[in-house]
Amino acid sequence: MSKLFAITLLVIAAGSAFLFISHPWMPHDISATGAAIDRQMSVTILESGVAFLLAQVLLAAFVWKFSENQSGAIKTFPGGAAGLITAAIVLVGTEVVALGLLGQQSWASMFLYPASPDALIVQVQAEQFAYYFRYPGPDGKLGPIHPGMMDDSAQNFFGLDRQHDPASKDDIVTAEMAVPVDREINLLMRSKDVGHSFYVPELRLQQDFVPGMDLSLHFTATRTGTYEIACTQLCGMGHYKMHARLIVMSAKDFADWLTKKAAAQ
Amino acid sequence: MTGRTMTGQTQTGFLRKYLFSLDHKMIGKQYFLLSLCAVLVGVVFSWLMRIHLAWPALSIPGLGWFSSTGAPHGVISPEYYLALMTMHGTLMVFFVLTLAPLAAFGNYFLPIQIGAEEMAFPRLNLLSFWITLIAFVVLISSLFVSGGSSISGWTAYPPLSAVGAIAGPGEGAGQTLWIVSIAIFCVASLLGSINFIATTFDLRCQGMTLMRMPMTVWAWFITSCMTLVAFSVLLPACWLLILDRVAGTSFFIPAGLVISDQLQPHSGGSPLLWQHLFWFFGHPEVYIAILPAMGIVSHVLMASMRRPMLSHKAIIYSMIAIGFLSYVLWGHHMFVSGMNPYSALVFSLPTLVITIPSTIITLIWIGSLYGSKLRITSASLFALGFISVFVSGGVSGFLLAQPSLDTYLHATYFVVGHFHLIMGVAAIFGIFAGTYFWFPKMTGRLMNEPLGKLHFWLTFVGSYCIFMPFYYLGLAGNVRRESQFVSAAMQSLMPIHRFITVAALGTGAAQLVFLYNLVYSWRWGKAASTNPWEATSLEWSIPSPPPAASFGGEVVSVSRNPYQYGIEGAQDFLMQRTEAMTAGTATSRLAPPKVANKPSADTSLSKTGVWIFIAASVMTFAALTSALLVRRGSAQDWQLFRLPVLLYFNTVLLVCSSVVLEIARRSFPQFNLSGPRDARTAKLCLSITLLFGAVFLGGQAAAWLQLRSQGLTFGDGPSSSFFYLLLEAHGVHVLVGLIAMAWVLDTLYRSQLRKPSLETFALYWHFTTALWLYVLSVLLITI
Repeated sequence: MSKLFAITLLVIAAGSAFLFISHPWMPHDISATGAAIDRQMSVTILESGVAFLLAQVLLAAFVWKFSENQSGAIKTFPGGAAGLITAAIVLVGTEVVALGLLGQQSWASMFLYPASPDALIVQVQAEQFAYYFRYPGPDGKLGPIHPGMMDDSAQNFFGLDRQHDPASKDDIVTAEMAVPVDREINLLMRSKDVGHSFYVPELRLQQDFVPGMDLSLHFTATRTGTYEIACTQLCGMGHYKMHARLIVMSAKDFADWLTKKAAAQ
Repeated sequence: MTGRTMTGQTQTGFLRKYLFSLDHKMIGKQYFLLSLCAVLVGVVFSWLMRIHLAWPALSIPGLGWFSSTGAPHGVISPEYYLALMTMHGTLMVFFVLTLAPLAAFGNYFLPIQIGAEEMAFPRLNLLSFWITLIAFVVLISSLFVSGGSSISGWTAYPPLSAVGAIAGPGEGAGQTLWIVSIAIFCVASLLGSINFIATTFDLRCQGMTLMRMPMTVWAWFITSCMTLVAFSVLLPACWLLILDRVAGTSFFIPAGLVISDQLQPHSGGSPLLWQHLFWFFGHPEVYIAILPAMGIVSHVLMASMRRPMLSHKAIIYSMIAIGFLSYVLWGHHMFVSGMNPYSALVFSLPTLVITIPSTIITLIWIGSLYGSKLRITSASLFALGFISVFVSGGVSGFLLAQPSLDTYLHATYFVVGHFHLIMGVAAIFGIFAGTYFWFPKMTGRLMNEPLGKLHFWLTFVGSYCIFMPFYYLGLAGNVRRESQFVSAAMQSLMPIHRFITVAALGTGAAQLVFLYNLVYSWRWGKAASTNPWEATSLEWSIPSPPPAASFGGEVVSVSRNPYQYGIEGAQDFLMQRTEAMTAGTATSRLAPPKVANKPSADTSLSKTGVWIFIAASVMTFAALTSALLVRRGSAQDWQLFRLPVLLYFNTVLLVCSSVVLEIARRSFPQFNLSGPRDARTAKLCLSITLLFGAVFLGGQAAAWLQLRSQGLTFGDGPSSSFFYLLLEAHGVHVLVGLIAMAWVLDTLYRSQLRKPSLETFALYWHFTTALWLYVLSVLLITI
């Protein structure tokens, strides 16, 4: 029975490890910050994988060997507890420090440094169960939001007063998000009702919307194509279908797209 | 004191024996059965969720009859999926993982393992079980109200959970019942932990020093301390959430929300405040689920390996370290929540550091296997499986602990795999190990070993088949909590989801083997000897099953640590308990034992209880006032108003009452009253204290009404909400104090009051005074 346990454990450990490395599970990275994250992910998976395999193999080996040992004196692991404790503190401690330091750089590039001043401003508003996006138009300004004027049936998702607020007049509101490739985007995030989230796996980016808080996120998409924005914060019954399209296009295509959307309003 | 004699010979009626028992062993079994019911419901719900994820259009026979609105024609609707998910999480986390390893096994074995006949407060114990049961019934009842159960998950993030039915089905009555159930559960857990801590402190038998306590007792003790702190924060958090729903306050709801095209009347609240309060509870809760399992696994392994662990102290200190660290890393649940990104780096570090004590414990388990004489039983298999699963769930923590990787993995199936393995499966393996190990003691019958081993193999392999693939799904960016995968990218992952569903159905069904074994062995299993596993701790020195009075009224004493295995000689082990004969003579020669093994009339016990209660109460008020400060700091809508002058008058009165009580306490003779004259001062002073206390309470009510009449209501603004709330919370403390005081005074008049009771009461009353001074100063600073 103990041998069966050891073999099962080894098969599970080897199988799990094989599945981790046999397949590129993560979708292709399309962001300027993604490469650093992917590198860090690989290093961490490698380190965790080694710890995982080491523990499972030792467990299997000892169960195999010592369950048969029903006579004779018990023996003590070479080095005893002190050796194991030292090993845990030194090995895991090093890993902790290394990972902790390694991770700060990519976190900082995403969240600690502000967007550059010439980044393209896009506003996204999350609501049950859709995203709406707003581009400032030629004046470069987003008009003020009046929650009391929000009316989805009249297509006034942001509660804009286009008659009285000059800045609102040329704002372009869309249901999908287009961005020019290789240009930094400064995404201003607000929620209309409850908590939501903005998650694009290809951008290696996720940020919650917090009602009552104005948050922002900045990123640069480096590859054209159509991707999916998903809501990851439980927001109600339609949570599963709260998705929007992210289209990364060339600078020229983007300008055309914006003109077309502006004309349609 | 328990309605039966210590020899257990008296016949007890059905109600006293099975329903309202004061016997910790029966209460332990009741908790076990309750969590068994909860786990059955929880597993069936997870089946329904898995079936729906794999085959969304499938009609499940009978489900349409059970919930015609949630699952018309047996096809699960999106909101019903979320309701099932919320219920699954809540049942499993609270009613299974918190109850079974701690409340069930702890109640049964903690007193026995420290040589006590009873828990410190048997009536409180009875009460906590029944309150837990009420919480369970309230939660289950939410399935049947209009709109169904809550759909906001077990974390109940506001505003979704705070604005009412307008946010979706299940967010009306269902959500209210959810919060009420959890609040009730908090109360029960707090009472339970007071009992556990006091018992461990005060009822250890002679010679049972802290370092001689079994690993299980250490684990339960540390867990109880964590429970005390964690649930005394969740309780006020639930309270605030209920007020947001029913009293129109805005603790968690900000201004300008438009829900279902309606502008909400709230202003200024902070959704992140709930997240902080919730995860301050929520992260320690993970360790509340896993620490008792670690204790059980260590306990079972040593009996199976026939040797002590390489280092007991290392395991105990590591568990304590985990307990402390678990309170400073709650923010790792909130890396992408919108909190200050610098704090993510702060929370990341202790999250990584907590892997060190966990690794120490794991390495000591594995290292102790080396050179042992391992016996393979169902119990030891589950203990070994625990180590494997604990590692598999633990290593993924390295990824999630790093904010920059968490931005990718957060809210994906990677997290689902992580917490299910380390918290769910590992803790359940600990429960199984405990069940197979202690069943003979609890019932006097052995469980069937071949069936137990079959159960292990199916569960072990099945669990890996279910939860390992979650890691791959998460890496692929598969978002959790979605009732269907509508996006094209996710379609390619459907085969994995179907595989998981099949594995889940199979593994769930395999638990029938366990249930059959449990029921069959309970009734018809082979009779168990006193010590079938040749184990050493105290529970194996008394009959299986133990009589109502576990030790039959004998004096228990120990003189060595509990894990004397691997001894040279005919028997390879030594019992921890000193033989009765020796104990008798030893006692007569030695000074009176420092600790008693049964709750004598000594009221120092209730003093311990009051101290522990004070700790909980301090946490509750710390949570409330820090919520106040956070809310004050972030709000644009904070309105200042003048505190009623009456409050200062009340304050003076309360301080005076404490002073007068102190005079009574000091004047009271240390030993029995010799005559009525002795108590004259005490009677007078206590009466004055009672009067002052009552007037204080009346004065507080008057201050409340005075503000009310000025038009300031509960929901008017955050400052008034907090004002009323703190007044109310403190008022409840005073009210309890007044009732206790009436009892003390009554006892005094019957000349039966003893000094320790008076001292216990004085401690409590002084605490309420100090508490009021704290509350008043906070109010003065902020309002």
